Amino acid sequence: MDNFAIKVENLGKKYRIHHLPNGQKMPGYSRINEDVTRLLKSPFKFLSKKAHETHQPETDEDFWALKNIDVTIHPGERIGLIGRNGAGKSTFLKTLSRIVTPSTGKMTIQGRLASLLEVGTGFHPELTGRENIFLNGSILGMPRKEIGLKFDQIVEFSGVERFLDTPVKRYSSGMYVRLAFSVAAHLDSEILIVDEVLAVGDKEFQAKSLKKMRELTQEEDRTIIFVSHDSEKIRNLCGRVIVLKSGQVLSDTTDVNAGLELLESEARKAS
Amino acid sequence: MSEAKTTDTPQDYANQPLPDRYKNHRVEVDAAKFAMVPWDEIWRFRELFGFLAWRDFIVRYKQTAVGIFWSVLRPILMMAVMTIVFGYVAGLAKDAPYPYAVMVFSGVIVWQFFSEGLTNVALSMTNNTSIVAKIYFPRLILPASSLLVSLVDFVISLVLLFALMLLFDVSFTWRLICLLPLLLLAGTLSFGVGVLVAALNVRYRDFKHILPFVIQIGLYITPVGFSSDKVPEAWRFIYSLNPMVGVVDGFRWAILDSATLYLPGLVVSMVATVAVCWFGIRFFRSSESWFADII
Repeated sequence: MDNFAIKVENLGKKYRIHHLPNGQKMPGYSRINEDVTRLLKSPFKFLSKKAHETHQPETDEDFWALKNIDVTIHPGERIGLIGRNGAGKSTFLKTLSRIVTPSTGKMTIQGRLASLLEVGTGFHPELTGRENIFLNGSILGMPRKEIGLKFDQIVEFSGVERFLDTPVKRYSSGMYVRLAFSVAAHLDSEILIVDEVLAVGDKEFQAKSLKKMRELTQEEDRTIIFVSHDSEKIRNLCGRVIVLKSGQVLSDTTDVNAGLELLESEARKAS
Repeated sequence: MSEAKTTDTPQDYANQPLPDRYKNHRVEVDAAKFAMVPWDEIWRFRELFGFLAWRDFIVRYKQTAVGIFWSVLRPILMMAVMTIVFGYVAGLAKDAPYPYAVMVFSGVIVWQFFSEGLTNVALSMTNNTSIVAKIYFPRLILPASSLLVSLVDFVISLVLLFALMLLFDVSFTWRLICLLPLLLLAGTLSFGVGVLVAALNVRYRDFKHILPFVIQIGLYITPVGFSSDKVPEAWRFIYSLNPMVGVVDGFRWAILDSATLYLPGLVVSMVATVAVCWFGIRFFRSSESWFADII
Protein backbone atom coordinates (compact mmCIF):
# COMPACT_ATOMS: atom_id res chain seq x y z
CA MET A 1 0.00 0.00 0.00
CA ASP A 2 1.14 3.50 -0.78
CA ASN A 3 -0.67 5.16 2.11
CA PHE A 4 2.27 5.75 4.44
CA ALA A 5 3.47 9.10 5.68
CA ILE A 6 7.03 7.95 6.23
CA LYS A 7 8.67 4.83 4.96
CA VAL A 8 12.23 4.13 5.99
CA GLU A 9 14.17 1.22 4.54
CA ASN A 10 17.50 -0.05 5.78
CA LEU A 11 18.51 3.38 6.97
CA GLY A 12 21.99 3.80 8.39
CA LYS A 13 24.23 6.66 9.42
CA LYS A 14 27.92 6.24 9.85
CA TYR A 15 30.28 8.63 11.59
CA ARG A 16 34.01 8.39 11.66
CA ILE A 17 35.80 8.94 14.91
CA HIS A 18 39.44 9.94 14.68
CA HIS A 19 41.72 8.78 17.43
CA LEU A 20 45.04 10.47 18.04
CA PRO A 21 47.99 8.21 18.87
CA ASN A 22 47.66 8.99 22.57
CA GLY A 23 44.07 7.80 22.61
CA GLN A 24 42.39 11.21 22.45
CA LYS A 25 39.59 11.88 20.04
CA MET A 26 40.01 14.33 17.20
CA PRO A 27 37.68 17.25 16.73
CA GLY A 28 35.26 16.80 13.85
CA TYR A 29 36.88 19.22 11.47
CA SER A 30 40.14 18.14 9.99
CA ARG A 31 43.16 20.29 9.57
CA ILE A 32 44.18 21.47 6.18
CA ASN A 33 47.79 20.28 6.36
CA GLU A 34 46.73 16.64 6.73
CA ASP A 35 44.56 16.82 3.65
CA VAL A 36 47.20 18.69 1.69
CA THR A 37 49.73 15.98 2.56
CA ARG A 38 47.30 13.37 1.32
CA LEU A 39 46.62 15.40 -1.80
CA LEU A 40 50.34 15.60 -2.59
CA LYS A 41 50.96 11.93 -1.90
CA SER A 42 48.24 10.67 -4.20
CA PRO A 43 46.46 13.48 -6.02
CA PHE A 44 44.18 11.29 -8.12
CA LYS A 45 43.02 9.21 -5.24
CA PHE A 46 42.30 12.33 -3.22
CA LEU A 47 40.19 13.95 -5.92
CA SER A 48 38.19 10.82 -6.62
CA LYS A 49 34.76 10.67 -5.09
CA LYS A 50 35.64 7.91 -2.66
CA ALA A 51 38.59 9.85 -1.23
CA HIS A 52 37.27 9.98 2.29
CA GLU A 53 36.16 6.35 2.24
CA THR A 54 39.49 4.93 1.19
CA HIS A 55 41.55 7.04 3.55
CA GLN A 56 41.66 4.87 6.62
CA PRO A 57 44.61 5.07 8.92
CA GLU A 58 44.53 2.58 11.77
CA THR A 59 43.48 5.26 14.19
CA ASP A 60 40.08 5.78 12.58
CA GLU A 61 37.01 4.03 13.80
CA ASP A 62 33.59 3.74 12.21
CA PHE A 63 30.65 4.42 14.39
CA TRP A 64 27.16 3.57 13.27
CA ALA A 65 24.78 6.00 14.95
CA LEU A 66 21.92 4.29 13.10
CA LYS A 67 21.86 0.90 11.50
CA ASN A 68 19.29 -1.12 9.55
CA ILE A 69 16.31 0.98 10.52
CA ASP A 70 13.06 -0.16 8.88
CA VAL A 71 9.99 1.77 9.95
CA THR A 72 6.70 2.65 8.32
CA ILE A 73 4.57 5.39 9.81
CA HIS A 74 1.02 6.06 8.71
CA PRO A 75 -0.90 9.34 8.63
CA GLY A 76 -2.46 10.26 11.96
CA GLU A 77 -0.17 8.17 14.11
CA ARG A 78 1.44 9.63 17.19
CA ILE A 79 4.77 7.96 17.67
CA GLY A 80 6.87 8.17 20.79
CA LEU A 81 10.53 7.67 20.06
CA ILE A 82 12.32 6.51 23.18
CA GLY A 83 15.71 5.18 24.13
CA ARG A 84 18.53 5.99 26.48
CA ASN A 85 21.09 8.71 25.86
CA GLY A 86 23.11 7.90 22.77
CA ALA A 87 20.60 5.39 21.41
CA GLY A 88 20.34 7.36 18.17
CA LYS A 89 17.06 9.21 18.71
CA SER A 90 18.35 12.61 17.68
CA THR A 91 20.25 11.24 14.73
CA PHE A 92 17.12 9.43 13.56
CA LEU A 93 15.02 12.58 13.82
CA LYS A 94 17.68 14.65 12.10
CA THR A 95 17.83 12.12 9.30
CA LEU A 96 14.05 12.17 8.92
CA SER A 97 14.15 15.96 8.85
CA ARG A 98 16.82 15.67 6.14
CA ILE A 99 19.30 17.72 8.12
CA VAL A 100 21.63 14.75 8.27
CA THR A 101 22.22 12.75 5.10
CA PRO A 102 21.95 8.97 5.54
CA SER A 103 24.95 6.79 4.71
CA THR A 104 22.87 3.85 3.59
CA GLY A 105 19.27 3.12 2.76
CA LYS A 106 16.29 5.00 1.50
CA MET A 107 13.37 6.93 2.86
CA THR A 108 10.19 8.25 1.34
CA ILE A 109 8.10 10.94 2.93
CA GLN A 110 4.60 11.90 1.84
CA GLY A 111 3.29 15.15 3.21
CA ARG A 112 5.16 18.19 4.45
CA LEU A 113 7.45 17.48 7.36
CA ALA A 114 8.43 20.09 9.92
CA SER A 115 10.90 19.46 12.66
CA LEU A 116 11.11 21.33 15.91
CA LEU A 117 14.39 19.98 17.11
CA GLU A 118 14.88 23.17 19.01
CA VAL A 119 12.43 26.03 19.27
CA GLY A 120 13.38 29.37 17.83
CA THR A 121 15.49 28.03 15.00
CA GLY A 122 16.49 30.95 12.84
CA PHE A 123 15.28 33.58 15.29
CA HIS A 124 17.48 36.57 14.78
CA PRO A 125 18.23 38.54 17.97
CA GLU A 126 18.24 41.90 16.17
CA LEU A 127 14.81 41.42 14.60
CA THR A 128 11.57 42.26 16.37
CA GLY A 129 9.05 39.67 17.49
CA ARG A 130 6.84 40.50 14.53
CA GLU A 131 9.68 40.13 12.03
CA ASN A 132 10.83 36.91 13.63
CA ILE A 133 7.39 35.33 13.35
CA PHE A 134 7.58 35.79 9.60
CA LEU A 135 11.21 34.73 9.31
CA ASN A 136 10.87 31.69 11.57
CA GLY A 137 7.60 30.64 9.95
CA SER A 138 9.22 30.81 6.58
CA ILE A 139 12.27 28.83 7.72
CA LEU A 140 9.92 26.18 9.10
CA GLY A 141 8.22 25.99 5.72
CA MET A 142 5.06 28.08 6.15
CA PRO A 143 3.98 30.07 3.10
CA ARG A 144 3.92 33.82 3.72
CA LYS A 145 0.19 34.06 3.09
CA GLU A 146 -0.50 31.48 5.74
CA ILE A 147 1.72 33.21 8.31
CA GLY A 148 -0.28 36.37 7.69
CA LEU A 149 -3.55 34.52 8.25
CA LYS A 150 -2.39 32.89 11.46
CA PHE A 151 -0.45 35.87 12.74
CA ASP A 152 -3.04 36.93 15.32
CA GLN A 153 -3.48 33.38 16.63
CA ILE A 154 0.27 32.98 16.99
CA VAL A 155 0.61 36.23 18.90
CA GLU A 156 -2.35 35.46 21.13
CA PHE A 157 -1.07 32.00 21.99
CA SER A 158 2.38 33.31 22.87
CA GLY A 159 1.10 36.17 25.02
CA VAL A 160 3.80 38.64 23.97
CA GLU A 161 1.49 41.18 22.27
CA ARG A 162 3.03 44.12 24.09
CA PHE A 163 6.55 43.36 22.94
CA LEU A 164 5.85 42.58 19.32
CA ASP A 165 7.97 45.44 18.05
CA THR A 166 10.87 44.92 20.44
CA PRO A 167 13.98 43.10 19.18
CA VAL A 168 13.89 39.58 20.59
CA LYS A 169 17.37 40.04 22.07
CA ARG A 170 15.62 42.09 24.77
CA TYR A 171 13.06 39.34 25.48
CA SER A 172 13.20 37.26 28.62
CA SER A 173 14.06 33.65 27.90
CA GLY A 174 10.47 32.65 28.74
CA MET A 175 8.97 35.11 26.28
CA TYR A 176 11.42 34.01 23.63
CA VAL A 177 10.53 30.35 24.04
CA ARG A 178 6.79 31.03 24.12
CA LEU A 179 6.90 32.99 20.90
CA ALA A 180 9.04 30.32 19.25
CA PHE A 181 6.72 27.51 20.30
CA SER A 182 3.67 29.44 19.12
CA VAL A 183 5.04 29.80 15.62
CA ALA A 184 5.88 26.11 15.50
CA ALA A 185 2.52 25.04 16.93
CA HIS A 186 0.67 26.83 14.16
CA LEU A 187 2.49 25.04 11.41
CA ASP A 188 0.19 23.45 8.93
CA SER A 189 2.56 20.64 7.96
CA GLU A 190 1.25 17.11 7.96
CA ILE A 191 4.13 15.54 9.85
CA LEU A 192 5.57 17.18 12.93
CA ILE A 193 8.76 16.09 14.67
CA VAL A 194 9.10 17.32 18.22
CA ASP A 195 12.13 16.84 20.41
CA GLU A 196 11.72 17.77 24.06
CA VAL A 197 10.17 21.09 23.12
CA LEU A 198 7.72 20.82 25.96
CA ALA A 199 10.51 20.84 28.51
CA VAL A 200 10.60 24.63 28.29
CA GLY A 201 8.51 27.45 29.66
CA ASP A 202 6.74 27.61 32.99
CA LYS A 203 4.33 24.96 34.23
CA GLU A 204 1.29 26.79 32.93
CA PHE A 205 2.73 27.18 29.45
CA GLN A 206 3.88 23.56 29.38
CA ALA A 207 0.34 22.40 30.08
CA LYS A 208 -0.98 24.78 27.45
CA SER A 209 1.45 23.52 24.85
CA LEU A 210 0.75 19.89 25.68
CA LYS A 211 -2.95 20.58 25.20
CA LYS A 212 -2.19 22.28 21.89
CA MET A 213 -0.20 19.26 20.77
CA ARG A 214 -3.10 16.94 21.56
CA GLU A 215 -5.45 19.16 19.58
CA LEU A 216 -3.07 19.14 16.66
CA THR A 217 -2.97 15.37 16.48
CA GLN A 218 -6.64 14.75 17.10
CA GLU A 219 -8.44 17.37 15.07
CA GLU A 220 -6.55 16.90 11.87
CA ASP A 221 -4.86 13.91 10.23
CA ARG A 222 -1.55 14.97 11.56
CA THR A 223 1.34 12.64 12.25
CA ILE A 224 3.54 13.38 15.21
CA ILE A 225 6.88 11.93 16.18
CA PHE A 226 7.69 12.86 19.71
CA VAL A 227 10.88 12.35 21.68
CA SER A 228 10.97 12.69 25.42
CA HIS A 229 12.53 11.11 28.46
CA ASP A 230 9.30 11.70 30.35
CA SER A 231 7.23 8.47 30.36
CA GLU A 232 4.17 10.37 31.54
CA LYS A 233 4.19 12.62 28.49
CA ILE A 234 4.73 9.68 26.18
CA ARG A 235 1.74 7.86 27.73
CA ASN A 236 -0.32 10.99 27.39
CA LEU A 237 0.45 11.74 23.81
CA CYS A 238 1.47 8.64 21.92
CA GLY A 239 -0.30 5.61 20.53
CA ARG A 240 2.79 3.76 19.49
CA VAL A 241 6.36 3.68 20.69
CA ILE A 242 9.61 2.87 18.93
CA VAL A 243 12.40 1.89 21.29
CA LEU A 244 15.91 2.51 20.00
CA LYS A 245 19.05 0.92 21.34
CA SER A 246 22.56 1.43 19.93
CA GLY A 247 21.17 2.79 16.70
CA GLN A 248 18.80 -0.11 16.06
CA VAL A 249 15.11 -0.65 16.62
CA LEU A 250 14.70 -2.73 19.77
CA SER A 251 10.94 -2.68 19.78
CA ASP A 252 8.15 -1.11 17.75
CA THR A 253 4.79 -1.54 19.45
CA THR A 254 1.38 -0.01 19.96
CA ASP A 255 1.47 -1.20 23.56
CA VAL A 256 2.95 1.97 24.97
CA ASN A 257 3.33 0.63 28.50
CA ALA A 258 5.18 -2.46 27.34
CA GLY A 259 7.59 -0.30 25.37
CA LEU A 260 8.24 1.96 28.33
CA GLU A 261 8.78 -1.05 30.60
CA LEU A 262 11.22 -2.54 28.12
CA LEU A 263 13.19 0.67 28.23
CA GLU A 264 13.23 0.64 32.01
CA SER A 265 14.40 -2.95 32.19
CA GLU A 266 17.18 -2.09 29.73
CA ALA A 267 18.20 0.76 31.98
CA ARG A 268 18.27 -1.58 35.01
CA LYS A 269 20.34 -4.13 33.13
CA ALA A 270 22.89 -1.48 32.24
CA SER A 271 23.34 -0.09 35.72
CA MET B 1 -2.94 15.54 33.86
CA SER B 2 -5.31 12.68 33.28
CA GLU B 3 -4.11 9.70 31.42
CA ALA B 4 -5.80 9.32 28.08
CA LYS B 5 -6.60 5.86 26.88
CA THR B 6 -5.30 5.20 23.42
CA THR B 7 -7.28 2.61 21.59
CA ASP B 8 -5.47 2.95 18.30
CA THR B 9 -4.04 -0.10 16.65
CA PRO B 10 -1.61 -0.07 13.75
CA GLN B 11 -4.19 -1.77 11.54
CA ASP B 12 -6.46 1.24 11.85
CA TYR B 13 -3.87 3.45 10.28
CA ALA B 14 -2.34 1.01 7.88
CA ASN B 15 -5.63 0.34 6.15
CA GLN B 16 -6.80 3.89 5.77
CA PRO B 17 -6.29 5.61 2.44
CA LEU B 18 -3.76 8.41 2.29
CA PRO B 19 -5.49 11.69 3.25
CA ASP B 20 -5.61 14.19 0.40
CA ARG B 21 -3.38 16.73 2.07
CA TYR B 22 -0.52 14.23 2.18
CA LYS B 23 -0.68 13.67 -1.55
CA ASN B 24 0.84 16.88 -2.82
CA HIS B 25 4.24 16.49 -1.30
CA ARG B 26 6.41 13.48 -1.82
CA VAL B 27 10.10 13.42 -1.09
CA GLU B 28 12.45 10.54 -1.68
CA VAL B 29 15.88 10.41 -0.11
CA ASP B 30 18.25 7.76 -1.30
CA ALA B 31 21.76 7.52 0.11
CA ALA B 32 23.01 6.32 -3.27
CA LYS B 33 21.64 9.15 -5.43
CA PHE B 34 23.05 12.58 -6.19
CA ALA B 35 21.62 15.56 -8.07
CA MET B 36 23.63 18.56 -9.24
CA VAL B 37 21.06 21.28 -8.63
CA PRO B 38 17.71 20.39 -7.02
CA TRP B 39 15.63 22.89 -8.99
CA ASP B 40 12.25 21.59 -7.84
CA GLU B 41 13.26 21.89 -4.19
CA ILE B 42 14.68 25.36 -4.68
CA TRP B 43 11.42 26.40 -6.32
CA ARG B 44 9.46 25.01 -3.38
CA PHE B 45 11.57 27.04 -0.93
CA ARG B 46 11.58 30.23 -3.06
CA GLU B 47 9.94 32.33 -0.33
CA LEU B 48 12.68 31.45 2.12
CA PHE B 49 15.19 32.80 -0.37
CA GLY B 50 13.54 36.21 -0.20
CA PHE B 51 13.12 36.12 3.56
CA LEU B 52 16.78 35.33 4.18
CA ALA B 53 17.92 38.12 1.89
CA TRP B 54 15.47 40.49 3.60
CA ARG B 55 16.80 39.45 7.01
CA ASP B 56 20.44 39.98 6.02
CA PHE B 57 19.60 43.35 4.56
CA ILE B 58 17.71 44.82 7.51
CA VAL B 59 19.94 43.28 10.15
CA ARG B 60 23.05 44.74 8.58
CA TYR B 61 22.43 48.34 9.55
CA LYS B 62 20.64 47.79 12.87
CA GLN B 63 22.06 50.01 15.61
CA THR B 64 24.04 52.14 13.19
CA ALA B 65 23.66 55.90 13.15
CA VAL B 66 23.52 56.52 9.41
CA GLY B 67 22.11 53.14 8.36
CA ILE B 68 21.69 52.60 4.64
CA PHE B 69 23.84 55.66 3.98
CA TRP B 70 26.84 53.38 4.47
CA SER B 71 26.00 51.74 1.17
CA VAL B 72 26.34 55.17 -0.44
CA LEU B 73 29.46 56.15 1.45
CA ARG B 74 31.60 53.08 0.79
CA PRO B 75 31.88 53.26 -3.01
CA ILE B 76 32.25 57.06 -2.92
CA LEU B 77 35.12 56.91 -0.43
CA MET B 78 36.86 54.15 -2.35
CA MET B 79 36.47 56.12 -5.58
CA ALA B 80 37.80 59.32 -3.99
CA VAL B 81 40.88 57.63 -2.54
CA MET B 82 41.71 55.75 -5.74
CA THR B 83 41.19 58.80 -7.95
CA ILE B 84 43.54 60.84 -5.80
CA VAL B 85 46.19 58.13 -5.47
CA PHE B 86 46.23 56.77 -9.02
CA GLY B 87 44.93 59.76 -10.95
CA TYR B 88 46.84 62.58 -9.31
CA VAL B 89 49.62 61.22 -7.09
CA ALA B 90 50.69 58.66 -9.71
CA GLY B 91 49.72 61.11 -12.46
CA LEU B 92 47.63 58.76 -14.58
CA ALA B 93 44.79 61.26 -15.01
CA LYS B 94 46.86 63.62 -17.17
CA ASP B 95 46.36 62.15 -20.64
CA ALA B 96 43.13 60.28 -19.92
CA PRO B 97 40.45 60.82 -22.61
CA TYR B 98 37.67 60.49 -19.97
CA PRO B 99 36.92 61.94 -16.54
CA TYR B 100 39.19 59.90 -14.30
CA ALA B 101 36.71 59.76 -11.42
CA VAL B 102 34.01 58.17 -13.60
CA MET B 103 36.52 55.67 -14.94
CA VAL B 104 37.54 54.69 -11.40
CA PHE B 105 33.98 54.60 -10.13
CA SER B 106 32.85 52.24 -12.88
CA GLY B 107 35.57 49.85 -11.72
CA VAL B 108 34.87 50.37 -8.03
CA ILE B 109 31.17 49.50 -8.20
CA VAL B 110 31.69 46.18 -9.97
CA TRP B 111 34.69 45.32 -7.84
CA GLN B 112 32.74 46.01 -4.64
CA PHE B 113 29.81 43.99 -5.89
CA PHE B 114 32.14 41.10 -6.63
CA SER B 115 34.23 41.23 -3.47
CA GLU B 116 31.40 41.86 -1.02
CA GLY B 117 29.28 39.25 -2.75
CA LEU B 118 32.15 36.80 -2.53
CA THR B 119 32.64 37.48 1.16
CA ASN B 120 28.93 37.15 1.94
CA VAL B 121 28.56 33.96 -0.07
CA ALA B 122 31.71 32.41 1.35
CA LEU B 123 30.66 33.02 4.94
CA SER B 124 26.99 32.22 4.40
CA MET B 125 27.19 28.68 5.72
CA THR B 126 29.24 29.35 8.83
CA ASN B 127 27.26 32.51 9.64
CA ASN B 128 24.07 30.47 9.73
CA THR B 129 25.33 27.49 11.68
CA SER B 130 22.22 27.31 13.84
CA ILE B 131 19.86 27.06 10.87
CA VAL B 132 22.02 24.62 8.94
CA ALA B 133 22.30 22.28 11.93
CA LYS B 134 18.59 22.40 12.80
CA ILE B 135 16.46 22.72 9.67
CA TYR B 136 16.46 21.30 6.18
CA PHE B 137 16.22 23.42 3.05
CA PRO B 138 18.24 23.29 -0.16
CA ARG B 139 21.53 24.65 1.10
CA LEU B 140 22.23 26.57 -2.09
CA ILE B 141 19.56 29.03 -0.97
CA LEU B 142 21.84 30.45 1.71
CA PRO B 143 24.70 31.56 -0.56
CA ALA B 144 22.23 32.71 -3.21
CA SER B 145 20.32 34.92 -0.79
CA SER B 146 23.61 36.38 0.46
CA LEU B 147 24.46 37.44 -3.05
CA LEU B 148 21.12 39.17 -3.35
CA VAL B 149 22.10 41.54 -0.54
CA SER B 150 25.17 42.65 -2.48
CA LEU B 151 22.93 43.24 -5.46
CA VAL B 152 20.92 45.79 -3.50
CA ASP B 153 24.16 47.64 -2.76
CA PHE B 154 25.03 47.50 -6.41
CA VAL B 155 21.75 49.11 -7.43
CA ILE B 156 22.48 51.98 -5.03
CA SER B 157 25.96 52.33 -6.55
CA LEU B 158 24.45 52.37 -10.01
CA VAL B 159 22.27 55.34 -9.12
CA LEU B 160 25.41 57.09 -7.84
CA LEU B 161 27.17 56.27 -11.09
CA PHE B 162 24.45 57.90 -13.15
CA ALA B 163 24.62 60.97 -10.93
CA LEU B 164 28.39 61.09 -11.41
CA MET B 165 28.02 60.73 -15.17
CA LEU B 166 25.66 63.71 -15.25
CA LEU B 167 28.04 65.69 -13.07
CA PHE B 168 31.02 65.05 -15.36
CA ASP B 169 28.94 65.41 -18.50
CA VAL B 170 29.52 61.85 -19.74
CA SER B 171 27.05 60.91 -22.44
CA PHE B 172 24.71 57.96 -21.95
CA THR B 173 24.98 55.46 -24.80
CA TRP B 174 23.22 52.28 -25.85
CA ARG B 175 26.23 50.38 -24.52
CA LEU B 176 24.86 50.82 -21.00
CA ILE B 177 22.50 47.93 -21.72
CA CYS B 178 25.56 45.66 -21.73
CA LEU B 179 25.92 46.33 -17.99
CA LEU B 180 23.21 43.77 -17.38
CA PRO B 181 24.95 40.71 -18.89
CA LEU B 182 28.25 41.94 -17.43
CA LEU B 183 26.63 42.16 -14.01
CA LEU B 184 25.37 38.62 -14.45
CA LEU B 185 28.92 37.59 -15.29
CA ALA B 186 30.33 39.23 -12.15
CA GLY B 187 27.56 37.74 -10.01
CA THR B 188 28.07 34.25 -11.39
CA LEU B 189 31.81 34.45 -10.85
CA SER B 190 31.29 35.70 -7.32
CA PHE B 191 28.78 32.93 -6.63
CA GLY B 192 30.98 30.21 -8.12
CA VAL B 193 34.08 31.13 -6.15
CA GLY B 194 31.93 31.87 -3.10
CA VAL B 195 30.17 28.52 -2.85
CA LEU B 196 33.50 26.76 -3.29
CA VAL B 197 34.97 28.71 -0.38
CA ALA B 198 31.74 28.34 1.61
CA ALA B 199 31.93 24.55 1.40
CA LEU B 200 35.63 24.52 2.22
CA ASN B 201 35.07 26.93 5.07
CA VAL B 202 32.68 24.51 6.76
CA ARG B 203 35.54 22.05 7.08
CA TYR B 204 38.56 24.33 7.26
CA ARG B 205 37.91 27.60 9.01
CA ASP B 206 41.30 28.69 7.67
CA PHE B 207 39.46 30.11 4.68
CA LYS B 208 37.79 32.74 6.82
CA HIS B 209 41.24 34.16 7.47
CA ILE B 210 42.64 33.66 3.98
CA LEU B 211 39.72 35.28 2.17
CA PRO B 212 40.17 38.97 3.17
CA PHE B 213 43.83 38.66 2.24
CA VAL B 214 43.06 37.15 -1.16
CA ILE B 215 40.46 39.83 -1.86
CA GLN B 216 42.99 42.51 -1.01
CA ILE B 217 45.47 41.04 -3.46
CA GLY B 218 42.66 40.80 -6.00
CA LEU B 219 42.10 44.54 -5.72
CA TYR B 220 45.74 45.17 -6.69
CA ILE B 221 45.78 42.82 -9.67
CA THR B 222 42.44 44.06 -10.98
CA PRO B 223 42.35 47.40 -12.84
CA VAL B 224 40.12 49.25 -10.36
CA GLY B 225 42.12 52.43 -9.76
CA PHE B 226 43.68 52.48 -13.23
CA SER B 227 42.76 51.44 -16.73
CA SER B 228 44.13 48.18 -18.09
CA ASP B 229 45.27 50.14 -21.18
CA LYS B 230 48.25 50.97 -18.99
CA VAL B 231 49.34 47.34 -19.07
CA PRO B 232 52.03 46.74 -21.80
CA GLU B 233 50.54 45.07 -24.86
CA ALA B 234 52.80 42.01 -24.51
CA TRP B 235 51.48 41.33 -21.04
CA ARG B 236 47.85 42.10 -21.79
CA PHE B 237 46.70 38.51 -22.23
CA ILE B 238 48.57 37.19 -19.20
CA TYR B 239 47.11 40.06 -17.20
CA SER B 240 43.61 39.16 -18.43
CA LEU B 241 43.84 35.64 -17.03
CA ASN B 242 42.39 37.17 -13.88
CA PRO B 243 38.69 36.84 -14.78
CA MET B 244 37.78 40.11 -13.05
CA VAL B 245 39.93 42.05 -15.54
CA GLY B 246 37.54 41.23 -18.37
CA VAL B 247 34.52 42.15 -16.26
CA VAL B 248 35.94 45.51 -15.15
CA ASP B 249 37.10 46.34 -18.69
CA GLY B 250 33.65 45.44 -19.95
CA PHE B 251 32.03 47.77 -17.43
CA ARG B 252 34.27 50.65 -18.50
CA TRP B 253 33.56 50.01 -22.14
CA ALA B 254 29.82 50.03 -21.47
CA ILE B 255 29.94 53.27 -19.51
CA LEU B 256 32.58 55.37 -21.26
CA ASP B 257 32.38 56.14 -24.94
CA SER B 258 36.15 56.47 -25.32
CA ALA B 259 37.11 53.25 -23.53
CA THR B 260 38.16 50.29 -25.64
CA LEU B 261 37.31 46.64 -25.14
CA TYR B 262 39.93 43.90 -25.11
CA LEU B 263 37.89 41.01 -26.40
CA PRO B 264 40.18 38.05 -25.49
CA GLY B 265 40.04 39.22 -21.87
CA LEU B 266 36.24 39.12 -21.88
CA VAL B 267 36.25 35.66 -23.42
CA VAL B 268 38.65 34.46 -20.72
CA SER B 269 36.30 35.87 -18.09
CA MET B 270 33.29 34.09 -19.53
CA VAL B 271 35.01 30.75 -19.89
CA ALA B 272 36.55 30.98 -16.42
CA THR B 273 33.23 32.02 -14.89
CA VAL B 274 31.30 29.12 -16.34
CA ALA B 275 34.03 26.67 -15.31
CA VAL B 276 34.39 28.05 -11.79
CA CYS B 277 30.64 28.19 -11.24
CA TRP B 278 30.10 24.64 -12.45
CA PHE B 279 32.93 23.31 -10.32
CA GLY B 280 31.93 25.38 -7.30
CA ILE B 281 28.31 24.25 -7.32
CA ARG B 282 29.34 20.67 -7.88
CA PHE B 283 31.77 20.74 -5.01
CA PHE B 284 29.24 22.43 -2.77
CA ARG B 285 26.56 19.89 -3.60
CA SER B 286 28.77 16.89 -3.02
CA SER B 287 29.93 18.39 0.29
CA GLU B 288 26.38 19.05 1.44
CA SER B 289 26.04 15.58 2.90
CA TRP B 290 28.48 16.33 5.71
CA PHE B 291 27.67 20.00 6.37
CA ALA B 292 25.33 19.32 9.27
CA ASP B 293 27.72 16.73 10.73
CA ILE B 294 30.69 19.01 11.20
CA ILE B 295 29.50 22.62 10.95
